[in-house]
Amino acid sequence: MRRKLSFLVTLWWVILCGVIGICMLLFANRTPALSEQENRTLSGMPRFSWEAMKNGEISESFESFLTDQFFLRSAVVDGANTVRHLFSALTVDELLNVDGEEVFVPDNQVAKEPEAVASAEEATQTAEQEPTQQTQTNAPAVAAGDSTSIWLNHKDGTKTALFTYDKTDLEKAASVLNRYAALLPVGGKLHVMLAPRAQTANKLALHLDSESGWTSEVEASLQSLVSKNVVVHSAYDILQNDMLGGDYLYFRTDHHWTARGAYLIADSMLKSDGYQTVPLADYKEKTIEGYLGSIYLHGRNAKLKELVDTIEVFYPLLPAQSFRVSNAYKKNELPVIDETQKNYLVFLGGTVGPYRVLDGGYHTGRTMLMVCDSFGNSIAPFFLPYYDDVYMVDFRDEYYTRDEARGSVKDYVRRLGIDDIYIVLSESNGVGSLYLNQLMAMNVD
Amino acid sequence: MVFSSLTFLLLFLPAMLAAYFACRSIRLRNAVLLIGSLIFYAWGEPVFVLVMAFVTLVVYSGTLAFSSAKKTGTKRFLFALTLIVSLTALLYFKYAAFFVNQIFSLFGSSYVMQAPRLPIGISFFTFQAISYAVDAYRGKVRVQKNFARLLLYVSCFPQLIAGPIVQYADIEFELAERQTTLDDFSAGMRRFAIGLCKKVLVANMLGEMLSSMPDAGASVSAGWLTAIIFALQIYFDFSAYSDMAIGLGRVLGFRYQENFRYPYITSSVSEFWRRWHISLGQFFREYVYFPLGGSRKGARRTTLNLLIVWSLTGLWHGANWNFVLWGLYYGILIALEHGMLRYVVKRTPKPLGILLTLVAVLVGWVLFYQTDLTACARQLLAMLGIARQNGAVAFAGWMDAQTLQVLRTYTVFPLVAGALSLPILPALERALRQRFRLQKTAQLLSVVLLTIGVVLSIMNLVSDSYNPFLYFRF
Repeated sequence: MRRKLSFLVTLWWVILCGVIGICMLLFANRTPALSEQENRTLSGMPRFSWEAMKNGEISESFESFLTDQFFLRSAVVDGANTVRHLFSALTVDELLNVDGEEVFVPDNQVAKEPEAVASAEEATQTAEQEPTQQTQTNAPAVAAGDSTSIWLNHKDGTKTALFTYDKTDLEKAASVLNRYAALLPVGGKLHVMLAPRAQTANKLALHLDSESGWTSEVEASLQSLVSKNVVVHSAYDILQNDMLGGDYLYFRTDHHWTARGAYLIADSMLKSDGYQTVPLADYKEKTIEGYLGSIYLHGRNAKLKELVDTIEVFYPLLPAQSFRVSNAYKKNELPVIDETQKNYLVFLGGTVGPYRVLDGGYHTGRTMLMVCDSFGNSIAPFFLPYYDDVYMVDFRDEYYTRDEARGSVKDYVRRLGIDDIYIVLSESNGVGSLYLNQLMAMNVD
Repeated sequence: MVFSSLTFLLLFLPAMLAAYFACRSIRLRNAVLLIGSLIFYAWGEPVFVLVMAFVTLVVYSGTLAFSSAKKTGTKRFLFALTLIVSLTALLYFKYAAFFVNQIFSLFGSSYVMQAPRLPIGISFFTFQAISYAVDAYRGKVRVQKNFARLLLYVSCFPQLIAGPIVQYADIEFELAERQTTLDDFSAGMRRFAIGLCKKVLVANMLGEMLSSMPDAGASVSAGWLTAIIFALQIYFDFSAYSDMAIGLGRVLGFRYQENFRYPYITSSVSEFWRRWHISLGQFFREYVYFPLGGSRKGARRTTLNLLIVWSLTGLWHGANWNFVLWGLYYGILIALEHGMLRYVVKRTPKPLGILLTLVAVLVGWVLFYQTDLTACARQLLAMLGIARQNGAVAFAGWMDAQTLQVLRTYTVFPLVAGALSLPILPALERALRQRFRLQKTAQLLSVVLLTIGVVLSIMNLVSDSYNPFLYFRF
């Protein structure tokens, strides 16, 4: 009896495997499909050809098809990862610190100074501020010596360097920014915003019990090296007060800022140019619940599900349009708010290159160009009321080729009549990065 | 195709078993098995089926030729020719570039020969073919006149790409006549499931852990942990494949010999090698060591024979100096155990013997793992606490940040894997069955656990692209 039972169980395994296999061949999706969750294209059924058979490609692509199109794949992957992470003793904070996408961070970022020179008094003062209190103007001094840092201030009066940049890094960045500023007509301004990623921001935002704020010396140092028509904005100064007040400015499971955080940045940059800005409350809003972003998807650790995010989407005040742009001409239409998406792609439907334009239906007589990475996607709609056209470009290889652009930034500025340029990049693509030092530099002329 | 792939588990295996058991006669079953095995091999690299067929054809025609030769000299010549020609494919694909480049570099030439793509499992099927030719020459087995049956022996899919190396004599009878009972089927599938779980749930996770380790010279713990994780990974990876091969063989009516017998609880290096990759050890013993004279020609000759055999064993694992060094390392250790240290080994308390053997084996795995000799030296020095910084000798440090991070990520997993590499579970099952007379409970528990294991393995295969076999290309 027991022998028969064993036999039947094992036979059942084989039959079950066979049935799943046949069902995969008959009913699985055969066409490649974009996975929003995994941010990649899932393999479809490969085409059988002698060439593919001969070089062994077919076996790999067929296996990819089976794994990618497996029934209930997402649940299966989640389940497998839950089991895999059973052994992990990593804390949520450590998990939140992983890279959610391709990043370049300068090597010296981990420099730490527990007994740093910051005055304990100053840090304590910040810690004792009421959440609603106005942001204290930090007016950070240009750092002495050859390096400048961004500091996380602790309530015990000490501080930790989040990033440290060499003077040569800043000089390189300044020279690139100056070349962009030189393209602008008289009166035009270059605004620079090098924003922290969520991995950095949440070291403060999620630890308000132990952290009192942050200080950045980088913007002031950079400001001293750039032309007069360049304004270097400090995200750390702009966001600090609202962040200490507990506002939801950065996602937790995704490396981007929220639209609310992006609004604060846009608002501050526009006000610095003398614009009367539209309050956030005037925008029509929708929310998307249950968002698990790039940091979660990196390892799919179930512990991060506790920090599930909500996406706030703010609609443009007037009906807006967006188009892909090549050779300085509008091509196919693109979404401004992509209603089909339930993740960060809801903003503009994601990045599309080489250039794109947003037309918010306003006639202000001014046009802007935003050089950005994906952080630009959620901030761009907030510039619509102040410019006729908001042009955007993301120089990362996945989105941009010079052949497609058919022109340098200099050509675009001239042909499109750009008045102001905004550089909106995350820290990964900021000072010392490949993006700023090389990609931006090589596309100026 | 590899066993731990969805293509194999969901399509090939069920289809193969259905077709195989649908046939009643052994001839039809052999035909199905041969066609299935060729498809299995061709799925990854179809052109190399010709290489396998060539090697089989050489030993087939060679054995027919020398077995019908009347003069001893002719017979010997044809036998030698058969061996040489059957080894040409292996020599070309695996060793030609290595030796040619060594020779050219000796003469100061900058010419570098690119190694051709290695046919999967070429070392395994070539050795199987050679074992048949030698046994036929010795009269130990009958000459196979049916080419398809010989090709089936060489290409039979369970042991085709990663062993065990099955000697023709062991399955000569089963190729002509075999049966699968209900017990064979369920025990075979159970063994296959154990192997699948070992590979997908343990070896792959150890592989992930190893890939997240820092440079092995970073600290004392980085050096030791890298060696330990690699030792566990290679054991679970390779023994898992052997489990799956033995299990599938049994389902199909073949009884393959064991290839691993818990090698990490041995108290001498010689014993370790009697428990690790047993089929390879047997092959070298029977076809190289004994013909060289074994231990019958005095101590010096024995030592020389051991060094020759172990150099070849090292080279079999890969065409690189680190593998030769690894082989020689074991040759020297075993020669010492058989010679100068014989009495020391005998009188050493077993726990101490196990510990010393384990350390010796871990050092061996460092030689095996680090294909770059400088990296190898760096890891070995780090294990001793020595680091070289700007030409000066310094303490390597007990622990580095990345190793600590890896330990925090995987915590007790290496300990669990270490425990699973010891015969604890079989002992537990035996105890349940015999001491407590809980036969039903033990059986039910093993069925439930393995069912969960298979489900988890499939889930992991779906979610994970990290699935290499370490012994795949040996």
